[in-house]
Amino acid sequence: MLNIGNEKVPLCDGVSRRSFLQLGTAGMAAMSLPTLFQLEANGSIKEKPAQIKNCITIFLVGSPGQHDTWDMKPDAPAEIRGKFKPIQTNVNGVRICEHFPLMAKMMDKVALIRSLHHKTGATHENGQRWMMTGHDFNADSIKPHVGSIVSRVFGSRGDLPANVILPGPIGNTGAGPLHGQTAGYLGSGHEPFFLNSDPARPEFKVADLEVPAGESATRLDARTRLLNQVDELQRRTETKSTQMHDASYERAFRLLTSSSAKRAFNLSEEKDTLRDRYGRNTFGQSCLMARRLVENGVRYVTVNHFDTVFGQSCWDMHADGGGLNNTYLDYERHLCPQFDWAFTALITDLEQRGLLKETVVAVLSEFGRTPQVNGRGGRDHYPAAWTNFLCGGNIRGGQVVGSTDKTGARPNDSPVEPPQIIASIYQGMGIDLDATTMPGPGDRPVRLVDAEPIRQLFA
Amino acid sequence: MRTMLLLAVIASPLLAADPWNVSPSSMEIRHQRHPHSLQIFGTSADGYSFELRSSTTFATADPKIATVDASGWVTPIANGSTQITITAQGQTKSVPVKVAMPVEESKTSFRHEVMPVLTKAGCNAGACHGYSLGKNGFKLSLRGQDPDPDYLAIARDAASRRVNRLFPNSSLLIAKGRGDAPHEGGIRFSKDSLADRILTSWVAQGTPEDLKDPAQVVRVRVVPETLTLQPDQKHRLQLIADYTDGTARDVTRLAIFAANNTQFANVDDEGFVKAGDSGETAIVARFERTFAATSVTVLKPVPGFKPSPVPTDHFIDKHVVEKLNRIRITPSPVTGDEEFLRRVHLDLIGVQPKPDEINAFVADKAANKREKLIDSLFERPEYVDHWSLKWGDLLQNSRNLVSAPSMYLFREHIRGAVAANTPIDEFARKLLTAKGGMTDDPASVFFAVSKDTNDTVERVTQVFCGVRMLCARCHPHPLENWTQADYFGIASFFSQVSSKQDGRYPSVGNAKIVSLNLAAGSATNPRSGKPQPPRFLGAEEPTLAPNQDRREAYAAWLTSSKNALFARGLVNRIWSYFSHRGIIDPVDDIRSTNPPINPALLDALTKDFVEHKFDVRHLMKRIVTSATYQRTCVPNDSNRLDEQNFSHSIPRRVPAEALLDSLIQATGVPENISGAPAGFRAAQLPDGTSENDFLRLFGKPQRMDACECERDNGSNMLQALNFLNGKSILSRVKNAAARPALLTRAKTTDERMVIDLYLWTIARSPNAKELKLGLDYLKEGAADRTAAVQDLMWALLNSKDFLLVH
Repeated sequence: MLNIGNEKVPLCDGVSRRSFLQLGTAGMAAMSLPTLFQLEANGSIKEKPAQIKNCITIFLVGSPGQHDTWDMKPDAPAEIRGKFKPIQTNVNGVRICEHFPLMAKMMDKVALIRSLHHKTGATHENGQRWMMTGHDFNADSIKPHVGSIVSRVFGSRGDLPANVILPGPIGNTGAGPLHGQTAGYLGSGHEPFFLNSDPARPEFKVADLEVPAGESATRLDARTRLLNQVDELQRRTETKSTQMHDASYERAFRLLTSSSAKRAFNLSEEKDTLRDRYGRNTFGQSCLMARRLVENGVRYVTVNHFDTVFGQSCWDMHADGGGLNNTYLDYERHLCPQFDWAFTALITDLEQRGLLKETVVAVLSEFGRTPQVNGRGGRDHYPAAWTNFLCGGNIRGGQVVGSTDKTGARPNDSPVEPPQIIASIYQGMGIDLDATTMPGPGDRPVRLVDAEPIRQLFA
Repeated sequence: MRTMLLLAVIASPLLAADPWNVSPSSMEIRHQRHPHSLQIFGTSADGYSFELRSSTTFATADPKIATVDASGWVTPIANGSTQITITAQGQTKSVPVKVAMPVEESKTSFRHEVMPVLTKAGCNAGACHGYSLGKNGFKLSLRGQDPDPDYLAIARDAASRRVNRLFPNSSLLIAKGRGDAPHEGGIRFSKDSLADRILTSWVAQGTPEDLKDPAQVVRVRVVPETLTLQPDQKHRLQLIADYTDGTARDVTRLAIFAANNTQFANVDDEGFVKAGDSGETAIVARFERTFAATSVTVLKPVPGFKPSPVPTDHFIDKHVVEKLNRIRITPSPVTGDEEFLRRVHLDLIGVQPKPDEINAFVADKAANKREKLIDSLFERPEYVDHWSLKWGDLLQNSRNLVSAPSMYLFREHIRGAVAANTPIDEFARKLLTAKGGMTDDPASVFFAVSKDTNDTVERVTQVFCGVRMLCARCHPHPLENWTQADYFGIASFFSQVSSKQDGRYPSVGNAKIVSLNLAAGSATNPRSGKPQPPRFLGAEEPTLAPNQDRREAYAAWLTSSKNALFARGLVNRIWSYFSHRGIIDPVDDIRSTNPPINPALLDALTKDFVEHKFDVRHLMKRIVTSATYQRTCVPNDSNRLDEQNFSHSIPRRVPAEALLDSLIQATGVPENISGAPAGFRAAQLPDGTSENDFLRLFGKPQRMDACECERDNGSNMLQALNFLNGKSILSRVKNAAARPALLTRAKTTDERMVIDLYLWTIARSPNAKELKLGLDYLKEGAADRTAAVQDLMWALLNSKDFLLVH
């Protein structure tokens, strides 16, 4: 059982904010303070960082249709099977859409779940909340993002926050502000860290970590040294609250000044060929950034593929001729290729660095799309059946969980609901759901998610 | 052996002189399989608990009636009377034993033996088969709340594979528990353990069923109830269950023991306590659904400890110092004027004092100036803001839950009560019996906030009794003897209430009218499926006239001066607003298994509060006039590690609203808060819905929960990032209309400048070293004095003395 009720606060081992600050910004990079890695500035200070795996969740905002991607129905009538054709993959009997040719060559790493469905309304937000938190909720019970839960229960590791969302939060998707990408009742210490910046832009920088406009690094340094001296003279007592305060300032200083934290965000250190392989677009470069962050200690990275469904080309293929005018052409010309390149680059890159076994990669979306192609050649929201997939971590690739009926309208067998996906992500990260709780609303200890992992994924 | 050595080391010179006790003083055994232990224990002259079972000789007068083993367990042999002679430390005592068993030994009991074993082995825990979906197809009721389905699940389901009456060892129940068969839950008990013997005999006897047995546990008692131990000292506990049929049974080996805080003590499966670091915790024992707790104090010997004189002029100080003397701690002295002034301002009115207030207070030579100041703070408008905010949080006044006009009207109702210092019992009765719409009675918004009757149950118990009932909605509370009958017993007081859209305000969304259907019946207990008669929390089921407003009965019971829950819960909660913790902590999780750190202090405060007719200002004044409240945060050698007993002040982070208001006051630069009228201070915000990054980051609650824990007063990296690199401080100090610019324009001396900056930011004058540091910085930066002044203010606002109440 993880101890969440009784806070354990080890003494600071003599490494204080003072000594930290005395080094000034110049000495930060070389500094290693292992004891402070353990100080979690959230009230729950653990004895040692937990050994769990990482997760990168790719969220396909808008949701691709199952018929046009990973659960094709080539034998169905034309108005159901759609325009695309299936191709063979490197796993016998598993076929996917012709517009994922790179992915088809690495299906042995991927576990497709074709029997996903949820029973709530067909809004984007319902699906986002299911897939970001593992829970259904409404305005009066805001559940925490999975990454925030991981941050709360396992703490952060190194200089970077435990939970990062790239490139920014999901914005307006039509039905309210609750997308499941907040810390909810877990508190501000576990809010996701949003990059809020486009890593594909040449002048890309992380705003929160930069010297503010009109400031010079010299003055920042002078101020910081002054703060150190002011604080030094105030030092009278060491208690839990002063330690938490010191620890959080130290973390912030690290992030502001440690070159390793900054380097994690610096894509220009990557070879041009690799950056090209991921795709020179916001999504591709975000996936590359996700790998860099995981490498540097971030436990949970979410990459939002698009921040809205309105007025741009995205997965929400209504073909309505207006603000939601995504069509087969969008899928074929850039959505599928963008995903195919970035996703396969990420998997290959992680594997080559020995990180794939240490990192669950989850590709999730809100729902499926209607079996029947609509009158304008699009498909609409359809939560009764869709396909998502997991790979990496403890998950066995090269398999398919569940299937749908002839028209891709209903799960045929092994129906799976979103909380089971979230439970499987936790399990894939090596988290024992039966031995782990978090403080729920009112501090009542609760399971991380009310579901069991899909056993087949780990068999 | 180890225990003996330890005892010899600790207290041997004194032991011989210390009389010991034996528990029980006499025993009656009515069952062949109910052996009973003898507990030999006492307190040494230097205040430590000791326990002598391992160094005691036990002898039975008649081994044909009862035998006794070397560890003091008495086993019945045949009916009759005998006595056990106990010799320890050269003294002898005897315990009469009566054995009165049925002629034939009864079969193994499912209710009284198998169920406790399943619980003790963890089979029915929430993470195992007690999980609502079961595990691997085998589901038990959570923590054994429901023996009937559990019996079926074990003895009948899965084609009876779980039990094999011919070959008990092949029963899955036993093979998996022992680890003989693969079991995801691991090995739960070893072969030939007590658990194994009970399960094996029960299966071998053909899984007899005694679900209708009327005998039930009334309570469990743990012996001893308090322990004072040295670090690493061991002590065993004895747990006795009293049954409805008058029998007492030693259940030490069948119970579950847990320490509330394992830093201070650990306990093993059989009730052996091992002390850890100096400090206090409770050991909780659970058997079936009843609980008992032993308070453990771990103390290092302090040679030459001189008790502090016990104050007689203030009862808070009296009780705190008495406790500190007992645990050999010397409190820190009372703090100086400036530290006191800032602390009492932040705690009573939610904002720092200004420079002229600090100067005037320091200059005042009157002996009673602290008391005078406290009286004046109660009259400040910020007092109303600060405490209305608190009550707004607790009562969840929010636009997310009710219409904006309702929210504002309810806010005015709360502000009126705070301004008039309405006695808290009257305030509670008004809320709990309100009806109509927001314009008929703004107090009715209390009910409009509730989603349903369950929400009301949880709010009224948590806010007004400090008790969390949520768990008992679906299953017996895991840490207290609350059941669904208790939960729905309270629901029945509120089941006449309904709220729906107020037809007079069709265009105001979520404007509700609270109405009563006097004919409505009781709430249904989902476990029994039957109506649950109204039942006061932890008390009787009153006889109520039909068609009366049952809320009135509840409100009268709740606020009665005889109801310990109400006054005690509120006193504890209000205490916590002036300290880093409650006397019981968390303040809204009061239960027998979470005992107060200083019961005498809590009782005295409660008595005083009731005697003064629930006058909140009186209570607050009692607290802030005490030396205990006014102590410095600088520890001494004896209290450095004490964070439980109020021996010195423990710094806390300034809450979100007070932090923002103090920052605005210090810099003179306001904050634009969307969703609030212009010029509102953060403390005046009507609810938690304002979109403000600062307040969200520093943990302002959204008012979605009646729990104090919704407010997040922790420190975290994102807050620090905001203060160090964000706009909150940087753009404020650089603002052309801000304090640094104003002070620079005033062309003061450098010394005046440094002093003013300290007074505006951390509300105290700099000491000599701090003054020199400031002067040096201004001198070095003389080329750009404005920038240097900004930097100094920036550093002070980022320093601990600004962020913490200390």
